Amino acid sequence: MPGKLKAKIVAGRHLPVMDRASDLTDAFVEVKFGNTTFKTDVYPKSLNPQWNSEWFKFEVDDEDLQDEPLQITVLDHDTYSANDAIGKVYIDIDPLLCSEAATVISGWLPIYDTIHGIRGEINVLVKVDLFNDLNRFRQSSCGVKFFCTTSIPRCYRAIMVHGFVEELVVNEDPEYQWIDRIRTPRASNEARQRLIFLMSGELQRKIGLKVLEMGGNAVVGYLQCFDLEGESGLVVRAIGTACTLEKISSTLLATATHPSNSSPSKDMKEPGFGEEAPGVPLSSGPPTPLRAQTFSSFSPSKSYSRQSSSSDTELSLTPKTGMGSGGSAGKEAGPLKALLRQQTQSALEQREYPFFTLTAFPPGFLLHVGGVVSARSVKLLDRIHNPDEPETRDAWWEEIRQEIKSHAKALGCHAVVGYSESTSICEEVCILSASGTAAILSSRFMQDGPLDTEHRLSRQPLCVFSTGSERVEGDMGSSASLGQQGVFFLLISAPFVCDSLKCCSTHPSIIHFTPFSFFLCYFLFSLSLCCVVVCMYLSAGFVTACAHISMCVCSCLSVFVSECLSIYVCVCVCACVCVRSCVCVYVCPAPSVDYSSFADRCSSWIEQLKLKAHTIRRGSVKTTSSMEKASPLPEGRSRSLRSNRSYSGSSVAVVKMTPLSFIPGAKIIKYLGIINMFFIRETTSLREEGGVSGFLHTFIAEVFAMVRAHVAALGGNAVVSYSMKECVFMENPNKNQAQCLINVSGDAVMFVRESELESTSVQTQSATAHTSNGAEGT
Amino acid sequence: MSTELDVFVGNTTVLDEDVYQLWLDGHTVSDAVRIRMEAGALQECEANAEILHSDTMDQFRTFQMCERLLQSPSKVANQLLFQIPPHHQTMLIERYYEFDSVFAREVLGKKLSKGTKKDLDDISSKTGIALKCCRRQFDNFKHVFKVVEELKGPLVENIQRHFLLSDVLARDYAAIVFFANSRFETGKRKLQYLSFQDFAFCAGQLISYWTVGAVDNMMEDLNVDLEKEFLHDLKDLKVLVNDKDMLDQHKSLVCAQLRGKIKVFSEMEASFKNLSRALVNIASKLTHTKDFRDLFIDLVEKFVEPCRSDKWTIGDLRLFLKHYSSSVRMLEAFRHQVIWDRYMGVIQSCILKMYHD
Repeated sequence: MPGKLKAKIVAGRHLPVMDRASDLTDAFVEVKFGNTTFKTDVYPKSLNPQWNSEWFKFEVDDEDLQDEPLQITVLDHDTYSANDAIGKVYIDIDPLLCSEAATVISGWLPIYDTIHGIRGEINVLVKVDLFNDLNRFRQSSCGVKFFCTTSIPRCYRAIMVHGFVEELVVNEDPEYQWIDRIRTPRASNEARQRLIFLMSGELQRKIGLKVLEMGGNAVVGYLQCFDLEGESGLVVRAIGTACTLEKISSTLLATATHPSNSSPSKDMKEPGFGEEAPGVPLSSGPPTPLRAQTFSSFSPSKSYSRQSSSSDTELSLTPKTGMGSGGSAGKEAGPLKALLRQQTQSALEQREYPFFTLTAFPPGFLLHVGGVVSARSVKLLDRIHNPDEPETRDAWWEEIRQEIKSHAKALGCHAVVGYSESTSICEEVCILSASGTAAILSSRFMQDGPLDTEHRLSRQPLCVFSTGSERVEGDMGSSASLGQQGVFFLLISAPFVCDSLKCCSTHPSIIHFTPFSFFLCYFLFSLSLCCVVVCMYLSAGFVTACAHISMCVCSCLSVFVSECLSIYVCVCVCACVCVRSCVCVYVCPAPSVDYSSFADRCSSWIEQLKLKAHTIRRGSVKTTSSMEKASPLPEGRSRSLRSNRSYSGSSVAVVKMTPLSFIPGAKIIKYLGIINMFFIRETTSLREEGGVSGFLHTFIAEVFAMVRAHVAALGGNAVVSYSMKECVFMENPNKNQAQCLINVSGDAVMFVRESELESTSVQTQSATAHTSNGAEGT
Repeated sequence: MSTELDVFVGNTTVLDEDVYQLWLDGHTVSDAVRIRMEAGALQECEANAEILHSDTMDQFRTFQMCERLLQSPSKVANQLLFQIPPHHQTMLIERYYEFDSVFAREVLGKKLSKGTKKDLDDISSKTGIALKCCRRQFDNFKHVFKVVEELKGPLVENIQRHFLLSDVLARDYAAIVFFANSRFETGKRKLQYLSFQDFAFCAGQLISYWTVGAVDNMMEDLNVDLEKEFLHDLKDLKVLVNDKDMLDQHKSLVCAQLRGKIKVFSEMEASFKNLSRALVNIASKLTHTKDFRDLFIDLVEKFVEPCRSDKWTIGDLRLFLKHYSSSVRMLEAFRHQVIWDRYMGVIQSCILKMYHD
């Protein structure tokens, strides 16, 4: 029993009325973990019950701790009939398993029901006692940290970047089991939600094991996706970059301004970001056991004695490109060298996949960017021989990754950065796509590389970046420097794509789409170098639309729009509004889409976002006009100014959300763990809830509320790298029904404002979701 | 047929005060869009009508979702569904409970029941306030009434505590609750010239000096019922008009004080006995529910109108009432000084408030 999970149910509030006669509720709570269930007493006749239960203790394996969520069900006691469920709360206890993350989950969490939405709140306390278990053959990977952020998290430094990790688990989708015919929609939704929680827990554990095998202790750029394949199953897969991270200790954070001569690790230029000074020992052997004490107090001479021969590259590779005093520049020097050294040690091309999900790199790290590489394949789901086994899907992805790898080679590059994978499923057709930016990671590595550039001509490159390393940040998947052109270009390219769509929509066979999409990608890419992202995503959406499939989900686009919004707002409203982040859930419309309206929609999104930004600005100007006058218009997002308003009166902690990996004007002091939640909402009274718009509006607001509550319970005050995806939306207006599935992920963090410490003010940053769907009937 | 899905949800709920006001006023989305366009929202934001429409839709939907919370404002601060900055929360609540005094004037003194709710159509067309808006205001009255009805302690503070309203607004609600509870007659034609603010002032006076709560804060139940004992004691004041000597003495005292100070001296002298009789009779009959409900109409018919027809100025009236009530002290045979002062204090300020065209 290597772990003990303890949960305490404190109280509830705002519960719904379950007994019409008395207008009250007799609530009690079931706490379930694995197969063990505890119950609280019934707290009779109250909408604000005070259970104040004992500690419920679950003695479990740490494997289960990782896989299972803690399941809290609030019920209404009924003497004569069956107890009615009020709602549930799933708590992912993964953040508690890592010593550096949160230590306790405590706070008010919304009670959620898949039919009724949020129904009151419950106050819980959850703790985990882990016993050290040094079993070599263990199946768990407790302690491996996960980050959605696609750069090295701010308060860590990378000692080693190990490389690509991926995993995939498959299960039968409860929605398609035979039993679904006889059970209620609620039961089916709950079975599905629970299964997905379990599967993502299992997935994380398995990825964690791989990371431990590689000698790492963290996964950065963790990207998890769900493929709802329907009859053939439910796939949860994830990719990430395995790293060995070391926390920058808080004393260093505070006192790092003074350079130290004896301890290299203190030789930092800026508080808050670890930077390894030249000559820092990097253990080149098996890295794991040494990493903990490597950097704390070694004198230089001592450290050289530990160096292996390969590490002589470090000195020469220390970036010349202006380390400067900028914190962000300094921060990444560590991973750079670590990675390089590691690469020289085991040549990158010998790896299975030289892919990195990271998108932000230190200056000088990427020496050359070859261009975008993407690969697609169309699969038919009903041709899977044994749907319950992951092998088939593994093979599919293998194929695609190999293709990406060979594309990269063709571009004369040895690695792919900003790598991501996605799928679109429409009935029996599944389109897998992967993309990234082929890159050359260091000059040294170039020399070692066996490839010659002649190969380029043998394959038509999809797009070549000629800009070199300065442009790295504007690359695929990276939001950092897209700039306003991105927004602008969307407006231009959207009609263009649509025209092409029309001319090809006559293609009858799915098989033709794959080459066509390549063509389209190429064509679009050549339009503008800086807008690759846009084109890719648009074309991905297009391919599926062409297939005349009833509904498809283009989640990629959401990512893009979210990024372009934040950028747009940065440029536009920087004076008084901080980065306003947006998550867009784009639901592609029904068959025979009017493509030009799609284009309009794209542009109208941007327009609308503008308007929202203006609304915010107008609101802010009223209250903070003096502030605004005082501040010069800053350039770029990082300087966005916020007003400092004190919200002492609020009893609910303010939680910010942003799809960025950082919070402008603030310093992240602690990563509390990954937030990875999945929600299903269904309604049988669509009209009464205000149609699809009203339904989704409520649902998204609820999802936000739940994310905020969970972050606050972990002790955090923001979510970074927030993304909302995998939105399956089905409606049936005739039956007055609709169903929606949303997956959200991000990193819960605690931040402090750079300027502050004297004031506790938190101005809320807006994260917004914009959902849009245009479905015109024929 | 085309269905469209177009939603914008913020982590921090985005609110525009102007749009909120449009929503509160009961406008439909298309109305609101038109008004916003006329107000120049398009120029300000460089947006087109379609976007303005969808923005308005979003906000209206948000307000609609907030409405459930606003009905019990104490929940607004600790609910989790919307992340609303506190100053916006206050604004939302305050605005939601604000009402049109024209509307309040119409409902004043009526039973806050289903029957009255049916009349809202008429009130709406009479006042020009949208029906939806009338309904909201009416439901607010009813809701506040229902909540404070069962609470102990001072009315205004209860309203403030439960609905987190500003002092001014809480006082107005107290007046509405008071009138609805006491069911004063306010609808007669002769009372039409009085505004809601006039009545609210009078209600404030009555609540402060005549109710149970004014004497004892710890009373059970709603403390806006008038103190029975006090009303009963008012009957003793009859002696002022029934005792001929006392009436004459009172008159001569007042006349001596006012001679040369007011323009309408002769009219005052002539009507003194009638006026005095009117005030004392009103006092003595307050124990009867019917007469009590007619308090305001009686004051107008028997006191305000005679004075007005004699063209008293407000200054004259003030002086007269001052000396009329104070000179009673010099009547040696009169032994109900405390009751008299408590009665006249309120009546005096009410009459002065009501004395206008």
